[in-house]
Amino acid sequence: MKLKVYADRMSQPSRAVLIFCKLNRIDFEEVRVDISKRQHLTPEFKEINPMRKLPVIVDGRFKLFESHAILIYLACVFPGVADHWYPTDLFKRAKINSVLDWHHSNLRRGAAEYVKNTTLAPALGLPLDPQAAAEAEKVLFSSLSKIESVWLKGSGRFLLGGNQPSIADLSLVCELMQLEVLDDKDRSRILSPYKKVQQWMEDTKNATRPHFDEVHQILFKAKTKLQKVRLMSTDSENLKTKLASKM
Amino acid sequence: MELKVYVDRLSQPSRAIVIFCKLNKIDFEEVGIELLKGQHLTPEFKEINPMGKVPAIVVDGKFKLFESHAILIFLASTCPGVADHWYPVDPYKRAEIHSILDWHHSNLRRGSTEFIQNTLLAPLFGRPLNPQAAAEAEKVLSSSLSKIEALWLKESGQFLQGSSQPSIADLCLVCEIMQLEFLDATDRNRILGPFKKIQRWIEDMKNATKPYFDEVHQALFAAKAKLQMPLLSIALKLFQGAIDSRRQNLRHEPSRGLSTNITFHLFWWENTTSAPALGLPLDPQAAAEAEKVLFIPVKDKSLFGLKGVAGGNQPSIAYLSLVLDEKDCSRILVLYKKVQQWIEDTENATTPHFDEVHQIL
Repeated sequence: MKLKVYADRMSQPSRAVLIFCKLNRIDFEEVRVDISKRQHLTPEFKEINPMRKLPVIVDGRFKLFESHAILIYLACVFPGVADHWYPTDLFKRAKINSVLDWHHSNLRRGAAEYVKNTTLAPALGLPLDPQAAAEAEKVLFSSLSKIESVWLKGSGRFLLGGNQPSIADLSLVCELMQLEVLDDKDRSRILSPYKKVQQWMEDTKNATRPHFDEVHQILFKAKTKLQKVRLMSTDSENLKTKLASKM
Repeated sequence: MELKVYVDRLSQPSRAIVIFCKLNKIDFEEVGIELLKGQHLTPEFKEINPMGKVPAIVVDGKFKLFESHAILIFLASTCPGVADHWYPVDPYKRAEIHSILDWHHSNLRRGSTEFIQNTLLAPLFGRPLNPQAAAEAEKVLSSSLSKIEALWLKESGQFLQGSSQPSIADLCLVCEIMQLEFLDATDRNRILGPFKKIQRWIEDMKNATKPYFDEVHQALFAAKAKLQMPLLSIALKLFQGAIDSRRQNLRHEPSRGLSTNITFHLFWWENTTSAPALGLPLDPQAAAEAEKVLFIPVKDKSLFGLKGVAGGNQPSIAYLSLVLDEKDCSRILVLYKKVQQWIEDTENATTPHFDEVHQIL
């Protein structure tokens, strides 16, 4: 029975798992679960993951959720996965675990909550929350600073001074890609102070092409749609102003 | 392997590491980093952990590691004699432990720490309490406890995933739940009361890790006892009022009444000692200004009474001796012999509790 990966490509950790599988030629079936259509809340999906979150894998009878646990499992159990993804050296491995742990309450929390509360909430049937967005922004900036000053301190192109990417690079860069759906000016304001982060994102994309771009297609489509909506609402504001000034 | 473990036993993940090391007879040196004194924010500690958090370890003087889950995995994998059940070699069991540890960050840990901070501990770190944030955190906390019971304690074994022996996931999560001991009985019972399996699991964990579990949790119980002392809980409430008053720029007003006295004590303490814990610089000049004002209320004997008069005035002067160290206390109070006598009388009337209560600061 083939490995099944339950994913929504709009979900950052889902993308990390998909890219990893494709890159490492792991034979799998992608099962799309559309969060915006509430498919993660059905009783059928609850059988797969009682936490009702994505991604989840099913390997035979073994079910597993939490993307970091999944990436580690795949790296350890599937043959042919290069060592740099999750090294057998226990010291290197410990440092990668450290980044993955730190990620939850820092970059993930800051980035995901900022994007949700400024942009994506309506697609999930939730209201935007500027106050939550302001708090999330602080966490996001602080996390980006820490990535630059701590995790990208070494001479290598990747986290922890590595010359090749690990699952930590993949997980964190997929998280940062979610900022693509923000207004361009906003995204630029957030990322432009962090030159090392920007370079690292490029390096990670290059190391995982063409799968990186392919898996991120849906995100870019969403970005285009949102840009159109923003443009339309600016146009309609301009029209209102013009009309008002003519009266 | 020379192992140094930097911890504060008031921190949940710190306790998990210390218990694990003692239980598995791992040779280590425990280095105390007191969060309440801002020791995690010193440049020296930032050399150990640039994130300024505990726990952190240093192996053989050069390999530094932080994040408690990463530390536990490293120790379980590298230290000889650690039994397999803590971090099994079986990839399926291991993956499930990773899953629980990952889930923990944004669920149990987040709900529990934010609830406790926003109902109780925030003033100790210079922040106001936040009932709205506390209410939201309680939802996350209760939902997390519910998920643990429904998903991971549903099998017949004593530990997570139906196991008959604990893993590092059991240790981390139970140490987190123990932090609820800080709460008063009403809150704690309301939150934990519905979860019988969780309560049994905590007992099973204590038994599986004794005597170390209780020994390492002593610091928590001691701190809880002090927080419950009327003196300190009043001081904490005044502390909170003082934070708000200070932010209204009371520093230029002459001191009047109890809460403004506390304001200047707080202000003095912040600018000589605790500001780094709030991410602020020390300001000796501001402290000197506050000190001038401090003399005014102390001179007015009627504000404080003498000979240990119980009641509203008492916490204020006791608070003065709580926040100042002995040298400063003597220096400021030396001019006020009668006040000193009064403090001594109060001490004598209330030992050993007086000293015990002051230990926390």
